[in-house]
Amino acid sequence: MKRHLIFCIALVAVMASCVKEPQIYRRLSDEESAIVPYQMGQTIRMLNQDDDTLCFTVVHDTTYVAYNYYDSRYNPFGKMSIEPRPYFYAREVVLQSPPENSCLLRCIVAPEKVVTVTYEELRLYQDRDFYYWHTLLGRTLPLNDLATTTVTIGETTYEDVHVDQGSYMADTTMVSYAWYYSEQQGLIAAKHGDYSLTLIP
Amino acid sequence: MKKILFVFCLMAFFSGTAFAQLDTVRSNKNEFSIGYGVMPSSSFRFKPGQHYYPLGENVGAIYATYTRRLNKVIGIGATYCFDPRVYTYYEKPSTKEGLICRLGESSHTLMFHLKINWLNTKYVNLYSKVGQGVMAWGYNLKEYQPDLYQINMPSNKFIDRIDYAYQFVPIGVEIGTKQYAGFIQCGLGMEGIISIGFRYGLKDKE
Repeated sequence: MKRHLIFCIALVAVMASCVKEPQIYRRLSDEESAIVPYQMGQTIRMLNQDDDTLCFTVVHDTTYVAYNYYDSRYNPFGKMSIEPRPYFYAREVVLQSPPENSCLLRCIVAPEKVVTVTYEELRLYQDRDFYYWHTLLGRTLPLNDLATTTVTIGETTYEDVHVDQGSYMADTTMVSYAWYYSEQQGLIAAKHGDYSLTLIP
Repeated sequence: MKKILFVFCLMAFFSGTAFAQLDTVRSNKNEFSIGYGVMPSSSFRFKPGQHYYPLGENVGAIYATYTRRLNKVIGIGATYCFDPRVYTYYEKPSTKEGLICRLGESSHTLMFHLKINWLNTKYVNLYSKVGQGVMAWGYNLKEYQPDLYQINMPSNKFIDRIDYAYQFVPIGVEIGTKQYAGFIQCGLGMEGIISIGFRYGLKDKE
């Protein structure tokens, strides 16, 4: 016991004179924050894959410090390396549907116009008395890297829309996805596998 | 038990050796020395929970000491240490992309030390040293973009920038004459893990 105590005191003494690290946070500018155009109390309507109309109302709008900001990439040996990045401010806007629909739309904007959109549904956890938000659709859109174009969805034409589309193999089936996001209107449309959301103007 | 006995024997041996030096060739009463050490403890990086570290350029510690010898074995004195450091923070440190800021840090240390010469010969001396004191550190930020980054320094008050300082040298070697000598020492603390320097001994009055 005494030996451990002496060791601890010695360790604290050694560490006392170490370099003091500053905390660095990447700020979120007003311009970047406005990439998610929804305001508190605002309501939008969307059509889902079953042609049901969902009403989403902004119930939560907050800016916070996000800690898990890592940049992953592949090194020349083909192995993925994860590089830590500074902490950053992110703005999260949650749009919730009425209780009968039990779903929400979550938009998070990070610096450099990186937007993450998820469409979640409230589900019962394995028949237990416990509910959780299950993500039906979700994607991170680096808007600076996505070109803008004019798209027509339904009968409405939108300009300056960032488009992210493609497909990938999941097990034995090909899954296609397409996301349309406007800096002025927010999420225009999203389709990923069997699920979809389309803005009703 | 064996270990304790071994340490006890070792101490007895060195104390005997040390007192045997009382009547040998050493030493000057007043000694000045300057030195340079690598990896002083003031440039160690440790912060629990901090995931993000900068690219650092450590110059190393430069120090000056004065030792007043009470006899040929025991000396007490003071040490001043200066340790400048430059840290560069990037958004992506591996590729040096996105400069966040350059942080210049420096620490000034004042310690009182006890030096024990446990072997004195005509040209070679072996010694141990232990020092305790205080360190004050400061910083300045350069090339910092406040509109893009918020940087919270650990402290803005001077009183919070004073820390405990120490030096522990289990073994050091001085090679030279009674008046001029070069030295190399290894240990842990503000003078660095390994340091080299030059010692000048003032001539004693006859």
